[in-house]
Amino acid sequence: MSTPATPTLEIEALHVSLGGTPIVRDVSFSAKAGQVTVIVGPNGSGKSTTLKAVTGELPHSGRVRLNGTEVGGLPPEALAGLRAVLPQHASLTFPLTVAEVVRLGIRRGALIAGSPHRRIAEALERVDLDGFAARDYHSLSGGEQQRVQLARVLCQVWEPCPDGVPRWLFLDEPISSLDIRHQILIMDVAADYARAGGGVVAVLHDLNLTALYADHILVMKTGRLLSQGTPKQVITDRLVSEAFDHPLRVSAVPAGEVPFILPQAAGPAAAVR
Amino acid sequence: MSLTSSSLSERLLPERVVARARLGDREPLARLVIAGLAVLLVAVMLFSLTTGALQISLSAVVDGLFGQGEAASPSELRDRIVLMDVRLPRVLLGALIGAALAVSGAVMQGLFRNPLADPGIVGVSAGAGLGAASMIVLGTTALSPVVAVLGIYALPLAAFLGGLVTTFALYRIGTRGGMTSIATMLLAGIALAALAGAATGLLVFVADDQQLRDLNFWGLGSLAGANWEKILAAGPIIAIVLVGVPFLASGLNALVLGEAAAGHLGIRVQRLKRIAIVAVAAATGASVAVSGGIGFVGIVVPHLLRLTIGPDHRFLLPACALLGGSLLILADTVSRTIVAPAELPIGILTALAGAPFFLWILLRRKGLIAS
Repeated sequence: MSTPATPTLEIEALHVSLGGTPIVRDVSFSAKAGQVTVIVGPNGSGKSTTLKAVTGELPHSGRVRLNGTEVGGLPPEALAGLRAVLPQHASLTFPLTVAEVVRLGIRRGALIAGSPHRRIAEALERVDLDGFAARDYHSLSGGEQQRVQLARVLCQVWEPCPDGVPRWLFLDEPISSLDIRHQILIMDVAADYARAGGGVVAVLHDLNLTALYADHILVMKTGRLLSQGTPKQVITDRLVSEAFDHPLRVSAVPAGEVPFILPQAAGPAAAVR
Repeated sequence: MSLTSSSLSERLLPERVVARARLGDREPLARLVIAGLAVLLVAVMLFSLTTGALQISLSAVVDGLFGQGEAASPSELRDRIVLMDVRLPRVLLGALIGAALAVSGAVMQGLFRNPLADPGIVGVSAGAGLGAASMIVLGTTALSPVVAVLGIYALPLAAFLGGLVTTFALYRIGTRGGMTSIATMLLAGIALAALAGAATGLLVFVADDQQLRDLNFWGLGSLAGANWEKILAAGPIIAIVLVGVPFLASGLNALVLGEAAAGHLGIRVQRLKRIAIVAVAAATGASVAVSGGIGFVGIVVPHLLRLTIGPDHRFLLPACALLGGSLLILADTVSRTIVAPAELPIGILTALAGAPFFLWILLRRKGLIAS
């Protein structure tokens, strides 16, 4: 590792098959630290599978390089210090408190100064869960549990870019069970992390929040990368309609700035257009 | 329901412990409970040493243990022989076996991510029993070279091997894609226990009279045959497991989130699982080899402790060892005094208390089985 680290995530020719069925085919892209990269696409397009392959959860072929290093060659402990992964679903076997769940994210020796309690409290505050520390995780709503998991993930790579080496957040549908205020709050947390020098790669369903928060968008369809680019390049009538097999119109709010999709009903009304 | 506080415990516990528990941190509470359990274990050991067909005073016990003064009278000499050659090995064996059973229950529950996993319930004890029975029956014939080489360790190692094969089979059958199906695991456990039971039955069929007596006595689950040789045979294996499992604690904690999430946290999950399986099989095998099938300790003790100090394995595992030891010594003291001069096999006692407890957990957590 004498070569200077490149602050990017580079994916080359990624293939993933599950039970003999190819799910992700020949996907190549790169994501930069300091940016929010969002993967969008219809259900079953291979977004989450791509993320799972990139994080090493699923067997795959192709190259995955993080900060210039082949991920497969890193020991698990080193990789865990470099990136954290928020799963789409997380169920607990045993009744931990919220604080105990968040604490699992603090790796041994990761806290040089300060107590874990302060870090836990800070993380919970960021996801708008102060006062929840002593609650039974199982007694929380789905959206609250999702935010507890995010607090845990944040603790794992707390500093976005210590010593000039960016850390990475991989978020699989981080806002799927959240109300609109918390959707925005969590996307702000992700954007702040990127602005501070870290890398964020997220799978999202909400195209409008994607347009608002993403620096770079990857559009997937049937296991392939359909297109990629900035929101203005990617969120267009033609491309989103093609990606989702549904006629969609893109406007902009405020005028000419952020692309905005207004959903329209299918059927005769759509045919007229 | 809050996991960490009730008004009664708040009044009884030190302020710092309560304050930290209010922050969702049960670590100080867990340390306090572990200290209390250590005191309890010592007290229970002393109580058990004094109690029995022959009452021995506490001061005589202390004198005997720490070699203060010569035995002056014949009655003192008799007391000392009972103490050192009968009761002390029995109490120590009880502590070892109780600790081994409770800890292997806790490790297995962490490994299978399932609060109902227990070596006795899912067939690991039956597999270990088959290994032990093979050694008892075939040790004088087909397996005699093994006995010649391994000596007193032949029996516990055979039980360990039986337990290891069963645990591994159970894991392979019950787990798919990193998820253990609770129903599949319990059903596979029933099938494996039946298979091991049938094979043990075959051994009983070919056994001679002396072997039959050994098998029967051993199968009931009892500490009655406790002696220094058995401690020497099972003790080292159990001690290695008890000293080793705390190193699995942080891995088992991460596993609470699931295998994938544990991997993302930097845990080498496959290695953790392999070591945990070997540890469970070794502790269960060594226990079964010297004391037969003593059930439900591995499910009752971890469950009670999780209700008190939470599921953090860093504290759960040592607490299980202490409470498991105390409970088994107490149960054994009851079993050898309640129908004196006869003895009730301790396995009957633990099942009488443990089986309803198991059903109670099932009733409280019906959802577990459906999932």
